Amino acid sequence: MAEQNPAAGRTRLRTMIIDDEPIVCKRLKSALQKVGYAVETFTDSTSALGRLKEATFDIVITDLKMEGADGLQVLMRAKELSPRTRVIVITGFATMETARESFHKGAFDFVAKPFKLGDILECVRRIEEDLRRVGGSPPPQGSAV
Amino acid sequence: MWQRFSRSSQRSAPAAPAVWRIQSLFNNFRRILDHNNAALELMAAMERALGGEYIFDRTFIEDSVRILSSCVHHVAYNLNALTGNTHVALYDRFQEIRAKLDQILAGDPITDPAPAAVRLADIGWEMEPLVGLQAVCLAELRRRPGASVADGFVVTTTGSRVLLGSMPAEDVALQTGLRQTDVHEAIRKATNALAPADAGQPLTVAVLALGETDEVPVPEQEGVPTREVLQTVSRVLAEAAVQVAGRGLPGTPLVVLVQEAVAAVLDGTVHTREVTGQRPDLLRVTARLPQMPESEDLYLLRRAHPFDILTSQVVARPFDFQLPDGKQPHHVVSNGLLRGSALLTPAAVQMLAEMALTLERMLGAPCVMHWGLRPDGTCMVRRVLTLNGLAGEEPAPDLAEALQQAAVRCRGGQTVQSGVAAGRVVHVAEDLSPEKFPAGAIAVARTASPRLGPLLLRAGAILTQIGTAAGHLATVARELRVPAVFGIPDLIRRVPPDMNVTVDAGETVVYEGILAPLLRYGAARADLYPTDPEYRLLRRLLRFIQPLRLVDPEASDFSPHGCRTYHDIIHFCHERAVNELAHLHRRHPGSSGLHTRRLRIDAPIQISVLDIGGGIAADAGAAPGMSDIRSEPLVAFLEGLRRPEALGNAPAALRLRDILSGMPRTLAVLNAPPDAMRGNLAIAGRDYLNLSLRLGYHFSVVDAYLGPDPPRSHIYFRFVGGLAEAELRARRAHFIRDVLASLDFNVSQKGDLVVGRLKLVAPESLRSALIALGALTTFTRQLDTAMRTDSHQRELFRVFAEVFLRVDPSNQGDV
Repeated sequence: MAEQNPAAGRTRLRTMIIDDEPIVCKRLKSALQKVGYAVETFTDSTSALGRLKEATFDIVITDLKMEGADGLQVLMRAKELSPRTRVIVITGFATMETARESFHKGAFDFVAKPFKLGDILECVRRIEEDLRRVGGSPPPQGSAV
Repeated sequence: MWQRFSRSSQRSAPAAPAVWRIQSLFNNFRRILDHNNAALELMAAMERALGGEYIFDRTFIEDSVRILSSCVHHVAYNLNALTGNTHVALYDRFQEIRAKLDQILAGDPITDPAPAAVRLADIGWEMEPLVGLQAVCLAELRRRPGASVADGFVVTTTGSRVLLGSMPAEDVALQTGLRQTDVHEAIRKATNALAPADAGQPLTVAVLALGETDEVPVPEQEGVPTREVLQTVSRVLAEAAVQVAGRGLPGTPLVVLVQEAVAAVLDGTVHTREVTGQRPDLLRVTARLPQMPESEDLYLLRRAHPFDILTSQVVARPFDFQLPDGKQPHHVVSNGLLRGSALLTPAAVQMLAEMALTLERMLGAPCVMHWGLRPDGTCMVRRVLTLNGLAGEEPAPDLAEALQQAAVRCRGGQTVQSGVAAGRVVHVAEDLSPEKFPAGAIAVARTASPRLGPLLLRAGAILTQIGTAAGHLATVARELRVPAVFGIPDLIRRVPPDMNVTVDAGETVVYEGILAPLLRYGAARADLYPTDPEYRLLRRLLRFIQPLRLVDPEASDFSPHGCRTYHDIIHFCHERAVNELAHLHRRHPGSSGLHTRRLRIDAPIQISVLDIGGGIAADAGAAPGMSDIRSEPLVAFLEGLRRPEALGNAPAALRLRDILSGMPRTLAVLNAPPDAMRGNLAIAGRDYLNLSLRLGYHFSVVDAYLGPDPPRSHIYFRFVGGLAEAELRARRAHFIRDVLASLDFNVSQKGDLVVGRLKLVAPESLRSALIALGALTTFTRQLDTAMRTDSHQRELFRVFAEVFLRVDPSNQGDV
C-alpha cells in the first residue's frame, strides 16, 4: 500500500535562493537541502548577481521586489548567463501584469506569497523533469559551495 | 396646472424614501456580515500561519493587518450607518487597537503601560520582549499537566531599566510610566505574593541578558530571604549591566527571575542534542548530588519515545552510600536485583527526557534544561537555555538517501502544525480518556473533533482523515506545537494501528518505519519556530486581534468600551446589528417597506421571519410556508425543529418550587420594557440565518452562515435560562453542552449560559448540526424539570443522541 516516493531518484540540483527576507531564505534552504539539493542563499540581489557570474545554477528562486536589482533583472541576467537555468519568481505583490511579464522574460514559474513548501517543491520537481527531458545534467557531486 | 401636479407628487413622496431607507439599512447589515466574515477568515489565516504551513514574509503580516483593519473599520462604520451613529465610541476603540498594532509592527516592544514585575502565571508568548524567552518557556511549561516549574515572577526589561537608572528619571518615567518607587513596590508586592515574609521561604534570584539566546551573566543567587529580594535584584542587575557592557554589549535588555527555591536533593541537566556531534540522534541527561558536583552520572538516550537508554556512566559509590531515594546501593529492589549506585531510576531519566523534548518543541530549538529533584520526589525545571551552534546545522549526508528509499504510507492533507515525530500508530475515538493514550504515540482519528484536545498533551503527533487547518483542535495543536496534519485522504486505511511511522507534518508525508536521519535533522529549519522573529511578531499582533472577551450580550461590559480586540469589535457590531434589525420597525416608524412575516409551519413555536435578501421566495405571501423558504440554514434548522421524534417529549409537570425559583429572572424579563422582549425572529438571507428564540423561559440564539464559501461557514449557538431550581438548570446546561460537544462545537459554559461555535467544517456537517439544533430546541422544552438526577440527564442524552446524533461506529478506536 506504499506510495511511490517522489524523492526517489532525485538528483542533486544546484539552487540559488534570493530574498531580502531571511526567514524565506532559511526555510526554503532547509527544505531543499533536506531532499538533497545544494543550496546557496542571498538576501541582496547584487551579491547574488555576482555569484551568478562565478557559478552555474540549475535553479534560481528569486523574490520580485528587492532593493538594487529586482527579480526581473535577476531573471534576465540568469538566463543570459545560462539559458538552461530555470528561474522561479516568488512575490508578495502578485498581479496579472507581473506574472505575465515574468513569463515573458523566461520565468519557469511564478509563485505568490505566502506559499506552501509543497508548492515550491512541486515546482522544483517539474524543473527536474524538464531538465532531464532536455538532457540537462546536474553538476557533479561535491561541487556546491 | 403645475400646482395640481405638485400636490399629487407631494402625496406620493413619503412612501419612496421609506423603501430606499429600508434597502439602505439592509445593505448596511449585509455589509456588516460580509466584512465580519472576511475579518474572521483573515484572523484564522493569521493564526494558521503560526503552524508553519505557509512560508510567509513580513509583507504578508503587514498586509494582513492592513486589510483586517479595513474590514473592522467597515464593520464599525456600517453599524453606525445602520443605527444612526449610536456607537461612535467604537471608532475610538478601533483607533486604540490599530495604534497598538502599528506600534508592534514598528518594533516597539512597549504597547501597554508595561508592568515592572509579572508573575509566571500571567506570562504568555506575546510578552517575550518584556520577559525573555526563558521566562516564557517556564511559564508555558507550568501550564502543562505533569510538568513542575517553581513558581515565581519576573522583573521585566522595563522594571530593570528603571532600577538601573541608566537614563534620567524623568525620561524613563515618560517612556515607561514608571518611577523607581513604582518598581520597588511592584517587586515587594510580587515577593510577598510568592513567599509571605513570615513563611521564611528562601528564594532564588537570577538575572538574564536577553538576546539570540538568554545568557546568565552573573551567578544565580540562592537562599535569598524575602526581605532581601529587592536589594539582591538591584545588586545583580548592576553587576550584570557591568558584565554585558564589558563584553561590548551595553544596553542589552536584562530581566530578573525570582523563584521559589527548589531545595534539590539531586540536580542536573538534559541536553536535547548530544552536542559532541557524534550522536546527534541522542539526548544527554546528567545527575549529581548538589554537595558533590564533581560526581556526576551521565545517560545517553534516544530522542524518540520511549526514550530508550543506550548508555549510562554511573559513578561507583560505596555500598552503604545514602542515595536520594532513601536506599543504598546494596539494597535489593523489587525485581530481586541490587539497586546499584545510579542516582536516578530509568523511569526518572526517561521522564526528564520527555520533559526536555517538550521544551525543545515549545522553543523550536535544541536546549539545555536544568532540573532539580525535591525531597518529596517532585522533579522541577529550573532553567532552560537554547543550545548554541546548532542553528546552522546541515542535514546529514544520509538524510536524502533515507528519504528516497523510505516507503510513503500517505501524503496530502493540510499542515496544521509542522514538525517531525515518530512512533507507534494508535487509532483514537473521541471519547478516549487521555490517560489511556500511550505517551509519544502517533494519534490517528477520523475527524478533528475538539474533544481530542486533551489527548494532544501526550501525543507525538496527530493525524486525521477529515478536518482542516482551522478549527479548535487545530488551534490547540498549534498552541502545543504538536505536529499535526488534518484531512489526509484514506488515512484510516493506509495507516493502520500498531504500525511504526515517521510523520513530517510540514511536508504532509507519513513514512513507514522510524526514520532516524529525519528525526535527527528534526523538522529542519524549514519550519517556523517560536524563536523566529516573524513567529513572535505574529503572536504579539494576534494578542490584540483574535481573543474574544465579549461573549455575553447581557453583560454590563458588552459595549464599545469593553472591546479589547478586533474580534471583540466585530462581534459587538454583529450582535448590535442583529438587534437593530430585529427592532427596525419600532425604531423607524413609517418604514412601511419593512415587514416581518409569521411563518406558516407545523412547529411547536411561532417564528417570524425578516428577509434580508434571498431568504424567502419573492412571490411568497404574507405567511410563507416551508416551500417558500429559500434560506438554507433556516430550512435545515426547521427540519430539525419539526422532527416528530423531537416533539414526542411532553412538558414535564412543574412543581411549585420550580415555578417560584424561576420567578426572579423571568419576572424581570416579563416586567421589562417591550424592547427587551423579542419574539421568535429569524433574520434570514439565502446563506445566512440569525434566529433568536424564546421557548418557554429559555432564550437561545442561532447565528449561521451556510453558503458557497466554506471558509466562512459557521454556526454560533447561545443558550441561557430555564424555569427550575439552579441544580436542574445546571443539568440542562450540561446536557446542551454535551450535545454541542458531540457535534464538534467548541463549547464554553458559565453557569447556565452555554455558548458553542462550529466553523470550517464540510457543508453537510454544518447542515446536520443545524438540524440537530432544531431538534434540540424542541426536545428540551422544559426538560429542566425532568432532569432531577444526573442519571436522568445521561439517559436523556442517550435518547437524543440515538435519534439525532449519528455516531459513526467506525470512529471507535482501538484503545
